[in-house]
Amino acid sequence: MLPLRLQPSDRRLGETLQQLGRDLRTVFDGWRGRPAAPFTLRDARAGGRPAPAPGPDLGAREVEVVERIQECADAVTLVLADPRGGAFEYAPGAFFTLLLEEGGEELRRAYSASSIAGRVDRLALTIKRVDGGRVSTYLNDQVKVGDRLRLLGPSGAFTITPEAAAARRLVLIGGGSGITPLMAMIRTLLEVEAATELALIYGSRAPSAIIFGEALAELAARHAGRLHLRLVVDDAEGEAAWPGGIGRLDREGLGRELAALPWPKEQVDGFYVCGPEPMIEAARALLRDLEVPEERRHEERFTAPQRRAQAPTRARAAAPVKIRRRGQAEAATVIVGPGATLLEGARAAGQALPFSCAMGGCGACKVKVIAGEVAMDEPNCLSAEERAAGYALTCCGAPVGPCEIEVA
Amino acid sequence: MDIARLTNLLPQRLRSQVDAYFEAVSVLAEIRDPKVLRSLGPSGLRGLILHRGKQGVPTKIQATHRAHFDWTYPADNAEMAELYRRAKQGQWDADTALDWSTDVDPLNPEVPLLPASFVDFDDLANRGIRLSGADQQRFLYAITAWMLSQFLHGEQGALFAAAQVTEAVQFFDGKLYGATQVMDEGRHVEVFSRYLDDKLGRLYQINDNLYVIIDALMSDGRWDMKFLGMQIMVEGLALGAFGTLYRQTSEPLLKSLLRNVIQDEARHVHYGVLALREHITKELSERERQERENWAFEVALLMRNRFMAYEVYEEWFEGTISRATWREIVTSLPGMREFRQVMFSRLVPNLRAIGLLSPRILPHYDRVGLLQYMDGAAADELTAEGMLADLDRAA
Ligand SMILES: Cc1cc2nc3c(=O)[nH]c(=O)nc-3n(C[C@H](O)[C@H](O)[C@H](O)COP(=O)(O)OP(=O)(O)OC[C@H]3O[C@@H](n4cnc5c(N)ncnc54)[C@H](O)[C@@H]3O)c2cc1C
Ligand code: FES
Ligand SMILES: [Fe+2]
Ligand SMILES: [Fe+2]
Repeated sequence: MLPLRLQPSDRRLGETLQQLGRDLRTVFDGWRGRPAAPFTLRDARAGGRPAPAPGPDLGAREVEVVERIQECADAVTLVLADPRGGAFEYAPGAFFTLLLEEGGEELRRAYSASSIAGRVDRLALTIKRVDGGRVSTYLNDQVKVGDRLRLLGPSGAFTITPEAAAARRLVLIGGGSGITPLMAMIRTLLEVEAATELALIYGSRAPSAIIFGEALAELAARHAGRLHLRLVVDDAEGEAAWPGGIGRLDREGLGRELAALPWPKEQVDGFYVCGPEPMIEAARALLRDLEVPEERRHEERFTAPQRRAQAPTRARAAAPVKIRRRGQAEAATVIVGPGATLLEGARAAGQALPFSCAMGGCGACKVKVIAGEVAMDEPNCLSAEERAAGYALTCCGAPVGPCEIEVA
Repeated sequence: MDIARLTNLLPQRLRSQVDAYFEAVSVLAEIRDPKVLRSLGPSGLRGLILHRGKQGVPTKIQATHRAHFDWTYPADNAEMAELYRRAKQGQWDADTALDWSTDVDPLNPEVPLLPASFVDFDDLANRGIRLSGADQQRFLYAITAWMLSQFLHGEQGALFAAAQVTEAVQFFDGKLYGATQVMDEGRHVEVFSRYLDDKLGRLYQINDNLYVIIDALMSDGRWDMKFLGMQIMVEGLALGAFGTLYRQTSEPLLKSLLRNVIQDEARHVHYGVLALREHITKELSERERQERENWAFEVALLMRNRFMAYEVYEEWFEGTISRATWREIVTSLPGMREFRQVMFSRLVPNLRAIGLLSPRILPHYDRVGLLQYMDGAAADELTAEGMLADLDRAA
């Protein structure tokens, strides 16, 4: 049989079509007020290779999907690797930000690592489908092995630093997709901390919706006595022999589970809670009632500003922003263009500002607003106290007019 | 039609876009010779409308010239042989000739890349743009980086054009000389990109008008058009721009870099004059000669009127002032005025020397105020030392 080969003329046609596509996109972008960035930053240390481009591109790294694991009907694990061979380094509980383009709009979504943490070649993100969700449905239904994605991170403060000598007792409370960071903790701590014991209380809608069911059972069997599993479902779906709990993890349900823990609460070194808002609220109230001290309570919420460009004043006009750095006399002024966040504007002007998740979820980009006003996409991770003290997030904030910020 | 009145009714981003298209159309509409329009038109579309140079991927331009082989290796042009000899002597190594350890702080007002007088900040303030001291410094930094970026893009064009011209030219001595120019242009790409990477840390995108000129002469199959475009027009532009920056900068590394580059470029223009003078006065029909004469005039206008540094505008003022206001600002920048002056005082005498300033075109040059440069020295009458001495004297 003759192998199918592209004729030179076909290839020429292909190139012409690609060029036509680029031409049309360029013209279209022009009319939408999105011309190409006027310049790129150059980094001498990179041997003159272009530094991360300015503008909306925040220097995300490109990663390749090397494996897809269907965890259950509604969740998929994407295993990612760096095509150039780089490693990922993160602590259990950390999350990464995926940057996707849809219809010319950049969407940023946070996903917690579910794989074993440390310095690793492969990173697993587990994504639960949200009905009508733009990114989660795309990742569940469309992304194939071999596709490339853009990634920022790791970020977040919901992390544990593993220590081989530590002997801790930790209670992990998860609901739905909130299991992902807890899974990284379980995988890592069971491996690294030989004397640590974990108890997981994990709520799901039904047995078929449990993410990591098999992997958890396997881990519990392998590390006998060190992982106490308690799976709770709203509805056992007629499984007569369902071995776990039944009912919602609300104040009552969760209270029951906490009372049944293998250890007294005083012996628990930390409670880690991640799941839907009502579950987090319930856990917070219960743990407060149990007088668990603040420093032993940790929570992560999966809500963050989802719709970009929602800050009411984003996009109207360019505004000059003075950037003051603590301990430096001279302030730099950058012009933040229409439609850009403070972070994007500063980067485009060659001013490095700290950031991590770029989607309002981690607080790494917090700055103090000294003069003027910064409007932010909501909700975001700033606490009421931080707002009151005049802090703002540059990654999801835009200047309302001329303003001045201070970077720590 | 009053474009400003029309566009004022539109939202900001549309306003900029309409202005840009209107400008593109008027560039092409001003071209009177249909042959010239046919040769520049497609390039105009690719550069001004499709922004081919800014699409973020390498640009492919089809070359259509024919290589001219001669298996008898004649010694056919003594003046070119002499240029070849000088060019071999004049080679330099950027690693050792320049002090790359120089610490360049683009925002240090003590050693400015450009003096504040390059921009008339009072005039800017009168137009409502008040910049603080630090911002003035940053603005001058942006302008310098923009200029050097355009030099670099121009040098890439020069590198490829020099290689094509070396293939196409019919003088064998010209081919040997051409090999040195290819090396020169390669070195220019090296030094400008190294300076931008190591010292200024940014690279501006290619200006659309510069793209149009490069695109036009890369895709034109006629070797003498390539020559005219590259060796006379773009090299003339480069000499004007290098000379201005050389004269004005206080940054020692940049100054010595430009000094070295200017010495090379003086040879390049000289070669262009030698090769074209013969060809245009002896080989071409009068109609062909007129077409080149018109082409050179249109490109000269493009260079005089159109290098508006919109890339800097987009960075600094998009959304604050209109493109029309920005054009007025750029046109009246004292530094840009000097640049035009230096450029045309080199270019016009060269056009005269190669026979492209016949009495029929003079009224047009006169109309746009370029006739005053008629009496300067052409490149073949001028040495690099003489050129640099002129600049040093003016400094
Ligand atoms: C720090 C952090 C870590 C996260 N880690 C993970 C993770 O490991 N795995 C994972 O699957 N998701 C995780 N998320 C949630 C994820 O970032 C997205 O919010 C989620 O995938 C929905 O995005 P979408 O584009 O599909 O939905 P969108 O198109 O943005 O929203 C569609 C609809 O769903 C609602 N919605 C948005 N987010 C959620 C949600 N989380 N739950 C229920 N309804 C929602 C919206 O209000 C809207 O009505 C994390 C979020 C944060 C802030
Ligand atoms: S970078 Fe994470 S909140 Fe802004
Ligand atoms: Fe050159
Ligand atoms: Fe040259």
